[in-house]
Parts: sequence; C-alpha cells; structure tokens
Amino acid sequence: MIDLRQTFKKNILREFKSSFPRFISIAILLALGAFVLIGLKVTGSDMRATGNQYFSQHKMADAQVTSAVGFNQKDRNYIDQMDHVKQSEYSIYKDALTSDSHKTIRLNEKTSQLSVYRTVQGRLPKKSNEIALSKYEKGNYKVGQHVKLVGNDGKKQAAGLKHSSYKIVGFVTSSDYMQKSDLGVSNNGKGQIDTFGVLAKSGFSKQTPNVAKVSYDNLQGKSYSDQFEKQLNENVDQAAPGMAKRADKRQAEIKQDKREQLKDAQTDLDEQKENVQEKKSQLTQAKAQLEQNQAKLQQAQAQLADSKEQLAQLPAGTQKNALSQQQQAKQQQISTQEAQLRSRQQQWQQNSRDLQDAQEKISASEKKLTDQKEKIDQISGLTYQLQARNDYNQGYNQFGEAAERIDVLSNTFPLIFFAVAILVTLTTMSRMAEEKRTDIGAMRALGYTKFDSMKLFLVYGTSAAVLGTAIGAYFGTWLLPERIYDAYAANLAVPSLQTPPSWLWISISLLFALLCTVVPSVYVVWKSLQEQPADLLVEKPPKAGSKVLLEKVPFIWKRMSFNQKVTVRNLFRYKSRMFMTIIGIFGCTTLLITGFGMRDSINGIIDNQYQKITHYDVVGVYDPSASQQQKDDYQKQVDDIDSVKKQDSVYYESATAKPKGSTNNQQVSMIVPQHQKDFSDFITLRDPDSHKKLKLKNDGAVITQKLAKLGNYSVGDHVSLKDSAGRTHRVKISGIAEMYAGHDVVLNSNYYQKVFGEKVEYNAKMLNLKDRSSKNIDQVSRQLNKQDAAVTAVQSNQAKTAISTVLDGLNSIVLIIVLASSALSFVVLFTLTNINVSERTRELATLRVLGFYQRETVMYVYRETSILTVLGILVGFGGGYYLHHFIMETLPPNNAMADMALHWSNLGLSTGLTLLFSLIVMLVMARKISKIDMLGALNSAD
Amino acid sequence: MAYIEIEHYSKVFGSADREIRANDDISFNLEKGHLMVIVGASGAGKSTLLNTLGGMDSATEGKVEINGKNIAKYSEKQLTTYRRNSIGFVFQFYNLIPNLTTLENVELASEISPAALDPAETLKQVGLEERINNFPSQLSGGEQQRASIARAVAKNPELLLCDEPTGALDYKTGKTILQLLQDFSHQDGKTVIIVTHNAAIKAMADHVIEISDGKVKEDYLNDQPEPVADIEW
Repeated sequence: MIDLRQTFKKNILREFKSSFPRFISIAILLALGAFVLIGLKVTGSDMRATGNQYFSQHKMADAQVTSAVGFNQKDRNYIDQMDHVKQSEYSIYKDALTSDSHKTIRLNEKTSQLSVYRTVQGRLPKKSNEIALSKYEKGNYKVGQHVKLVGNDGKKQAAGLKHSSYKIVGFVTSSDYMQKSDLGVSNNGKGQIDTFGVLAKSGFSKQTPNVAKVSYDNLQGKSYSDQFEKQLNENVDQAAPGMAKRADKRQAEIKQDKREQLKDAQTDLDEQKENVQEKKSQLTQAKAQLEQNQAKLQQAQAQLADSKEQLAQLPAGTQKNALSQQQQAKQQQISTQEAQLRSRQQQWQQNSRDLQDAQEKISASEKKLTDQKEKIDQISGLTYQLQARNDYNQGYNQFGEAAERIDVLSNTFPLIFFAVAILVTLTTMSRMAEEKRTDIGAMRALGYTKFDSMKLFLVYGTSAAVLGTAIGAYFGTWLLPERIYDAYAANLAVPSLQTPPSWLWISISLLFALLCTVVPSVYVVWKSLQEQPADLLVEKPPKAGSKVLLEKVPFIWKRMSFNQKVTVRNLFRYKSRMFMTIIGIFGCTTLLITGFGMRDSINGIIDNQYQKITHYDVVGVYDPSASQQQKDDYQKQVDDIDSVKKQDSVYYESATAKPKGSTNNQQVSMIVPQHQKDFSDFITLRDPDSHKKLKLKNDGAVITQKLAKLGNYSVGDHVSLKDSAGRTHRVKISGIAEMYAGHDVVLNSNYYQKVFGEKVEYNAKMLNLKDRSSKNIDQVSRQLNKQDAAVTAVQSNQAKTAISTVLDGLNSIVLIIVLASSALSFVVLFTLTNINVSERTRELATLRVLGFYQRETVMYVYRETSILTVLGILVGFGGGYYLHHFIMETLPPNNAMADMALHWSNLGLSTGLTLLFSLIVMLVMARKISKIDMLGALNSAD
Repeated sequence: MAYIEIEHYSKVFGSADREIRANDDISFNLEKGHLMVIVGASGAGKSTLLNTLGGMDSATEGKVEINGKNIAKYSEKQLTTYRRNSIGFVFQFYNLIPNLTTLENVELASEISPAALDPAETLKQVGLEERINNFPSQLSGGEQQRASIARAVAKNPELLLCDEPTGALDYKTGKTILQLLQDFSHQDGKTVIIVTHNAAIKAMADHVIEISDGKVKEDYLNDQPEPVADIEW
C-alpha cells in the first residue's frame, strides 16, 4: 500500500465516501463482535487479578481455625506443627451490638501477619479504648467519635470487652469481610454480623485467643486457580480429622479439669458431712444427758414434795423452821436447775435445727454436685473449625464464582455475536467485490497490476476491521467488565476493577475481523482476476430465474396470488442471502430472548422461592443443653411474639457437602421437622417437574434440586454430609425437591436416628410470621437472640437480599446485551436489505416504471425480507430457549438456581423489537428505492 | 385538440449559477394514434424529454399536457398513477425480470393496470406463444424485446414510449421490432413515440422531431410513412 498514485488514492477514498453506510455497517458489526468477545473474555481474569491484588495486600490467611473455648498452649503447638503450615497468628474476636444502631458488630484483634487490616483513613488502634471500624461505617461515624458497644440485651457492657465505649481512630478494609452486609453468623442481634471493628489486644478483657489464622507453604498459583484451590482444600481436608481429635482431647481435658474441681468440692462436702455427723452424735449424747438431768430433777422434786409433806406433819418449832429453810433452799435449787434444764433444752433444740439446716444444705450441695457431674458427662460438641478461604469467607467464594460465571458466558455470547457479524460481513464484502467487477476490469485494461486492483479491498477491509476492532476493544476493555463487575460486586466489599487491555483478545478479535473483511473480498477479486479484462468489463448477468419445487405442486401453486408466487420464486432465487437473513435474525432474536430471559429468570427465583416454596421466615436456633428454665424462657419468648403465625420445633444444623466433581464445599441446611404433617406449611417439598408433594421417608432424606444437580445425584444415591464438628455422614437420597436458593437436606427423625446413631434433639423453632417484612424479621430475630438459650437466628430471606442486589446489577448487563443484540439485528437487517436492494436496482426500477406505487415496490422486496425475518424469529425462539436454558444453568452461583421458564412477555418483546427494526430498515429502504434513477438503471446493459 | 401538447417546456438540472438546461423551451403537438420518432445525437436531450413524457420526472417549466392533463407539475404519486394507467415503456435493454417467466413478466404489468389486456393473448400477438413459460435468460435478444413490448402493450396504455428499442438488436431483428411498433400504432390506433439516434427510422413515422442541444430543431409530419420493411440503414 505504499506508492499509491494520486488518482488511485482518490479512487479508494471516494469508495469510502460513496459507500459510507456499508463501511460503517461492517465496522459496527465487527465492533459489536469485538466488544462482546473482549468484554466477556477479560472480565473474569480482570476480576481475579483485582481480587488477587486485594488478597495479597491484606496478606489474606489461607485458612482459619476457630474455637468456642479458645486455644491453650497445647492447641497452639498442635496447630503450628500441622502439615504445611507456614505461618500462624492467633487473635481474639468477640461480637457485640452498637448501642445507637443495634448493629451486630464483630470485634477483631488487630493482626500483623495474616489477614491484616488496611487503613483507608486514620490509623489502627493502639490503646485499649481505641477502635477502627469498617470503611463502610464511614458514613455513620467520624474519626474521633466514640462508639458505644453493648451486650446482647442492649444495655449492659458486652462480655469480653474491657470498655463500654471506644474511640474511633480509623477506618479499615479487610480481606476477610468481603461482603458488605451479612458478614457471617453470630448469636448476637439479629443473628447476622452487620459490620466489623478492630481493637488492640488490650481492648478485650479476656485474653485467650479464639481464632487462628493460618497460611500454608505448599500453595502454588494465584487465588482461584485450580491448582491453588485444590491444594488448599486438600490441606484442610487432610487436617480435619486431626483437628477433630484435638478438639476431643481438649474436651476431655476440660472435662478432666472440671471433674477435678468437682472432686475437691466433693471432699469438702464429705468433710462437712462428717462434721454434721459428729454434731449429730453430740446432740444425741446431749439429749440423753438432758433427759437424765430431767429425771434427776423430777426425782429431786419428788423428794422435795415428800419432805414438804413430812414438814407439814411436824409441829412448828425450830426444827420445823430449820427444815422449812432447808426445803426452801432446795426448792430454790430445783427452780434454778429447772431453768437451767429448760435453757439447755432450748439450746439443744436450736442445735438440732441447725443440724437439720446443715443436712439440708449438704444434700442440696450433693444434688448440685451430681447435677454438675452429669453436665460434665454431657459436655460434647466442642469443635475446632478449620476452614479454608472458601468456607470462612463467603465473599471470597462468591467473588470467585462470579468470575467463573462470566468465563462461562464468554464462551457462548461472543460466539453468536461474532458468528452473525462474520456471516454478514462476509456477504457484504463479497458483494462489494462483485459490484466492483467492472472497475477491476477497467483498471486491468489500463494496465494496473493484479495487486493494484486488490488494493482497494485490502485498504477498505483492513480499515473497517481496524476501526471496528478498535471501537469494540475500547468499550470491551472497560465498559462491559465494569458493568458486569458492578452487578456482581454490588454486595461485595471489593476495590474497583482493574481493566488492563488484553492484547491477546484484542489481537484475536482483529484477526477474526480481518479474516471476514479481507479474505472474502480478496477471494472474489482473485477469482475475477482469472478472467480476461475484456470479460470483466462486461457486467455479470443477473442470476437466471428458475422454477421452484413448489411449482411442481399445482394444487398449491395455482391457488397462490401472483405476488405470492413472485415472492416464493425470489426467496429461492437468492438462497445464500435467504440463509444469511434467517441466521442473522435467528442470532439476534436468540440474544434478545436470552437477555430478557435472564432478567425474568432471576426475578423468578424470588417469586418462586418465597411465594411457592419457602413459607417460614426465621429459624431460631437455641442450645438444647441450656437449662430447662432458659429453654422455657426461649419458648415463652417465641409465644410472646405477636407476629408469629405458626411455629414448630425442628432440628437445624448447618452442614457442608462436597458434591462429586466440585472443589468447593457447599453450605447445606439440615432440617429435621418434629411434625412431618405440618412441615409443608413451612417449606413446600415438591417435585421440580410434576410439582407433586414429596414425603419424608424412614430410609432416606429429601435433598434440594441444585445440590442434586451439582453432584449429579439421583434418587437412591448417597450424599456425604459433614457436620459442624467435621464428621462425615452418608445420607441416602429418597427425593429431590424444587428449591431456588440455598441447599437443604430434610429428613425425618427416624432416618436421622439411623444416620447419626442418636435420637434427634430438637434445637430450633421454625417460625412463620404474619408481617414478612425484613424489618419485622430482623426485629423478631433480635428478640430471640436476646434469650440466654439462643444460639442464632437464621432468616429465610437472607438469600433474597443478595439476589436482589445481583439482580439490580444484572439489569445493566441485560441492558447491554439487549442493546448490543438490537444493534446487531438492526445492522444485519440493514446490510442484507441494502445488498438486496442494490443488487436488484434494475428490477426495482422496472417496477417503478411500470407504475408500481412506492409501497408496492417496497413490498415487492420487503415481502421476502418479512418472511425471512419471521422465519428467523421463529427459529430464534428455539435458539433463545436453548441459549437461555444453557446460560441460566451455568450463570447462577452454586447455591442458587434460576427459574427456567420463558415468559410470553419476553417472546413478545423480542419479536416486537426485531419487527420494529425490520420496519425502520424498511422505511430507510423505501427512501432508497424512491431515489432510484429509473432511466439510468434501465438503460444499462444486461 | 392534439393528444400531446407541449408548450415552452424546459427541464433544468443543477443550481441557479451552474444550471444545465437539458430541455430548453420545447413545444410540439402530437395527434392521437400517430407514431412519432424523436431523433437526436447522444446528449441532445432525448432521454430527458422521454423521462418527462413518461412521467418519470416532472418538468421545470412550461406545460406538458397529455390527453388534456398537464403532468408538468405532478407529484411523485400522481406521476406513478399516470405511468401505471397511461404509459407503456420499451427500453433498449429489455429489463425483463429474470426471475419471472415471459408470461409472468407480462402479468406483472397487467396485474396493476385497470384496462389490461389478456397477457397470453398479447404474447401471441408478438409471436411468443411458444415461449410463455420460459425465463428471460432462455430467450434470444429479439424475443426478449418482444416480450418487453408485450409487457408494455398488455397494460393497454394510451401512449407507448420506446427508448432505442433496437439499439441492442441486429438489423433483422430490429426491423421486426419496429414493424411491431408501427403496427401497434397504425392498426391498433395507439400513440407511439420512439426515441432514437438512428435517423433512418424517421421514414416510418407519422411525425418527426429532431432534437439538438435540448432544443427542437425540426418538427414535421410525414404524410406517407414508409412501411418498416422498406426502410434500410
């Protein structure tokens, strides 16, 4: 393309000017293809790169261990020497409520090595009364302000914290809390952690660490890479049994400690008992003596009475006086003795009462001791939870899955876009080469070389390809990834997306673009160049007419109107264009239906899930080993809540399952209803297809659809569930139930006993509320969690908010897809009709001369286009059905499923839009047809 | 009153300062049933005149009255109606629609015309009864032109306009075509205008107009038009 002569250059430039609509159409088609291809291809890796940087900035821990009782030195030694542990850091966390907004806040000890906090404003806490808050609290608080923290009752100072009020010194980000809300489960407040804060170690009153952050030395590759995730999960899986054993040991130690304490108490008690025994015998002795004394006294009294009688018989005299005095003295003596005896008796009685009290006390203590003993025996379920990133950090998982979803999308959508763009560009460019036949002939006749005659196409095709790719690459590199990121990251606390240009995908797009602009035109020109220049100067005769198959069926053919016959003939005359149009419209309708369908499907999750399947609002989980009084209080609280419509006891446990063939664990809610009959008032278990109700059986559990899909399970298979203590149980599947959000495993008490080897102990209240607003649900959860027996409250609408946020974001993706598909279908229709019209200019001119009105002329051509459009739309229904189905199978996260149904409104809208574009193109073409120079067109040679 | 009355008609292209007067102050009359030949060199303005007469373009100035109606200022739609009902065209290149059979090409015209003749009958008149189910590509040039004439005639137009009807044909075939046109005028009483650069054809006409530089140079009647068979060129 060097050394182009001046006029030659002018000729090429003029070609751009004269066929500007064609040039722009090609560029737009290629731009759309590149936009969608580059956009979807880079988003996943952009996201992962952004995430990776964020994680390494925060030195995110690979795994963490938590313990309800904290870690002692032995635990720490154990953890430190676990296989492949490179680094470990122990810290404290504690939940409390903010006294002003009643948000559940998790307070973490400041870490320095793993999962560190990065300040976005201010600094990290140093003194015991300082706090740094999540950056999402920046709108609510200011540095220098104080935040008051209270316990679960909303009044008292929170247990485990040194102060009730902390001074805010900064705002931070953390890689451990990637979700903006619902950061995890807590037994405080409404049951979900709302926000987090960082304290210095001295800010806690209890100094035993209860979380260990761990990093491994054998992890290779970046976060989210298969290699990395597999190795990490392997490490955790390998360490789990040891961890469980360690927890059992620690539990035994605790029991031992407690038993020893109990033993001391027992010894004390035994001593006391002995004392009491001694006192008792003393008392008995004292009683005997008292009785003796009394007898003696009575004897003395009797003697006295005798002597009194004797005295009375004596005559008065000195003897008598003396005796009388003697008697009086005796009398006095007896009275004193009597008084003495009485007081002794009283004292004895007192002592005896005291003894009784002591005895009672002892038996009470004894009972207490036995109670305690029993309790110690009952202590169980102490677990050290070792969790990999994916499990301890829901956001990490969600983020990675989102990126993966886009990867899946990127393998389908761009394909269709590019396929349609390629087809149409190909047609256009080869058509252009055919149109330029005589020009090439003239140039060859003038003595230009073959290569010279090709230059126009090389320049034209290359510029269209480069322009299209440049536009597509520009928008594809940032616009599409950012919109998608916004959608997926709507409820994630992640930094803004990095969008470096991906030269790989830009090159691939450019290559494709060049392939479809340059190659076909060069091919057609090359073919023409094989002919003699003289032959080239004569225009190729238009395609000869021929009969169509339908004419051999006179039954139908004869009944058709003239116009219909002409249309049918024309349809089959340009077979390749017929297929192009159908394929083009098919592709666009497919994309439109998929785009609208994606939105409907995700909307459908909420409708189906919360109106047809889930009827409960809260599961209040309590501690079954709490005292009877506490449990009664909990029940009373449930009964007192006005808005409870229906309640039942269930066993509720959050377990994990690892479906076959997946690297990540899935959170599963295991539910055992107390009353099977009424359970459908809380959750409808029904067959996904027939909607028949499923019954719980004694030999298997009902699992939900998505879990079955993930593991490719069918009825009769077994699924392994890992309980929170890390123990695995095999559960047989007796039914698969429809469910859109989350995984559930529901079993009856008999089957529970069979699998877990013990009788089920109901630990939760499942509640249906009259007022189902999230405000009321939060309120009820908070009330329940205030109870001493409360463990947590699980809300059924947690997924709802998450889905709604994703949905909002998805709308903008759908909008982009719909806009891009619309543009595509418009350009396709325009280009194909444009070719159709220019190829048949002479024919149209003839019609005009014959006196066809403008409308009739347009319809002569457009009847074909309309039929092809309608055919394309109909085929597009099929394509849309399959593509939508495919995408909605892969797009939702692993714990959600979309509603697969296509709505009539979607089909109507997609059809309507395509027809609208067709109409607009028709109007444009009508103008073009009316501008045809009749005489000019007709006076050229055939 | 003459069938065609043209008075001070001009057709101007381009803007005021760079105007091209393709037809400049043309006036003539043509009687109903006459065969007119308009002769002129290339670029003389014949085609523009034909365009205006055929209702493919409106006039810039003057009066173009056909059968009492002044079409000079007709709108696009009125012109179309005029073409549809009153005009039949025959071109140098036959412009048959390749995807329609001979019969269908004629039907295409008769379908839209209110006073149409029977298409098959018309084809018989031009001697194509054997070829009615053939596609244009299967016909010779002369046959195609005959089909084209049949298509123009089948509409039963008041005026038949022919633009170099023999331009692409050999001598012999050309003559049979001209004969057909002359018969159409002299036997069926139709008004026919033939535009050509071939001055030899003048002899067959009732009325001859010579055009040069957009102006009428000659305008005369032939009292004794020669039969086409006698003309040689």
